[in-house]
Amino acid sequence: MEGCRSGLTGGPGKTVCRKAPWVRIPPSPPRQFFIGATRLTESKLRPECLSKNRQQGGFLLKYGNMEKDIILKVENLNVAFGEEKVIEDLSFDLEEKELLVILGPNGAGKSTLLKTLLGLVPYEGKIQWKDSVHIGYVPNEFVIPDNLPLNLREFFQFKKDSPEKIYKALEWVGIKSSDKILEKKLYTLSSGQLRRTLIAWAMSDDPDIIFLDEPMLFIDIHGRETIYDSLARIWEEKKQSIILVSHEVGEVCKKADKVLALNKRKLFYGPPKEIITPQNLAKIYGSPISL
Amino acid sequence: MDLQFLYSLIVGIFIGGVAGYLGSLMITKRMALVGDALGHAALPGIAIALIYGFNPSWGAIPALFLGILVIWFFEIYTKLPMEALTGIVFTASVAIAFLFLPEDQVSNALIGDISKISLSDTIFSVILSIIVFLILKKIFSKMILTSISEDVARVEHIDTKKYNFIYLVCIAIVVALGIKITGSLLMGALVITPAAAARNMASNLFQYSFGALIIGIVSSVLGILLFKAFSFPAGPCVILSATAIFLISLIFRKK
Repeated sequence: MEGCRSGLTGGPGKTVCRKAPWVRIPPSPPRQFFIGATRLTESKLRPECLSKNRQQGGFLLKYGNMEKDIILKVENLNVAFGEEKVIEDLSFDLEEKELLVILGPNGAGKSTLLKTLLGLVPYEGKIQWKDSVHIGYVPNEFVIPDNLPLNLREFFQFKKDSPEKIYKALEWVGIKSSDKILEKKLYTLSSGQLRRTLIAWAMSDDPDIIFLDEPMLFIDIHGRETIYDSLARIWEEKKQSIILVSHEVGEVCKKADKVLALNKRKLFYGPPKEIITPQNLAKIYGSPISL
Repeated sequence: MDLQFLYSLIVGIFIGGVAGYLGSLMITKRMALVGDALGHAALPGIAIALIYGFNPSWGAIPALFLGILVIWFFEIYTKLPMEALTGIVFTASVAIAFLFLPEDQVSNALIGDISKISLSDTIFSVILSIIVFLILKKIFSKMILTSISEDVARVEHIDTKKYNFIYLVCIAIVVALGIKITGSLLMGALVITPAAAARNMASNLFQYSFGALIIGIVSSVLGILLFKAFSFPAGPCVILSATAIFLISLIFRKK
């Protein structure tokens, strides 16, 4: 067991060193500031903090005698927009190479949770990231301005990706790569193609974890199957951690390691076999749902 | 070729080029009318410059920076859309300018006057145009990503607030420079029309941004040549040249 190390210089990834024997995390308390009467932990996470400012070292969690590599640990997370509480007292953790599906009705705080973890929203509580974590993010809304002549090659070059990396990433999501496809403008892609392109873009520089916020939004059934197949392949073969926000309770949930059912508060959290039951789904969505 | 005309051409080439390049970003960020609005926001500074007989761009720069700072702070504190805040600031500026703008200088302020450009004005315009172009080129892809999704841009380590501020400063400088050619009334068109024409014909971002730059240069040169040949005011000639190119671009429009 190593001693506590200093981690982030700021941001939601800034961690607190506790004396708990199972956690090896940095020592300094989170910087706090005040907005009105609300105390917030600073969350102006510059994502570079995640990948660059952290020193090496992670933290381990012991379940009984079993040690697991934890990439993310969230404790007592609260998020409010003005007077409105969006997330209340949420705690969970994510292991490395784990697929976590976040379920919940509209307005449950799912997208806000992802944005909070990414440091885009102020919060109260603790979010502890493993050191040097590099994140890929696919938002639920990604609108290409009308007629913007941005082609796939240029889009991937925003990340300074080489053609080989671009081809590889596109092949992961089932897009047959060629020079011709790279010259295609993004706004000419179908919704499904654009989603898959975004997933490829997010994973092209090999992130440790991918955040996917409702990747099936506005996608037809066939498109959903293709995207789910791609995600399943990425997760099974590349073994990247994935946090997926979804309304789907089908195949993806069954493949998940854990499901977090959210409606501002944590409703259920655990392996899908335990969570995805008709009774629980009725509680989550407020009406019976057939599986 | 007389020296004055040569200075006008040089200034037109550099300012027209950088205005076109900037316009390609402004259309993408849905800020097409901001150049126009800022042109008006510069009016109090232009009015002071015309009263005291110095280069209107020198007067426009502080007025624009003040306007942009006010818009930037209002945006942070009110969260109102930038367009609404720009509207408030530019109309207030026009109102202030017309309190003391001499009547015989109204035309100069509104449609510009490129016939009296000195060597120092030319050097100043060329150097500033080059600096702004290099800055814009450096931040171009970051600003495009920010305009598509600010959240994704932040996750990709882009300090969006910083880059938005740099971008606004670049707009202010280009507008201040362009006012000499087109005046405050037509400034928006110098930024937007070449970029809109380039967007019609471009297959990719490179063609779009550099196409806008080239169309900006061609429009300025054509306009200044028309001014020389027919003694029409230069500003309207430059804008009408850009508009003609825009109409031609519709024929070659790429889908």
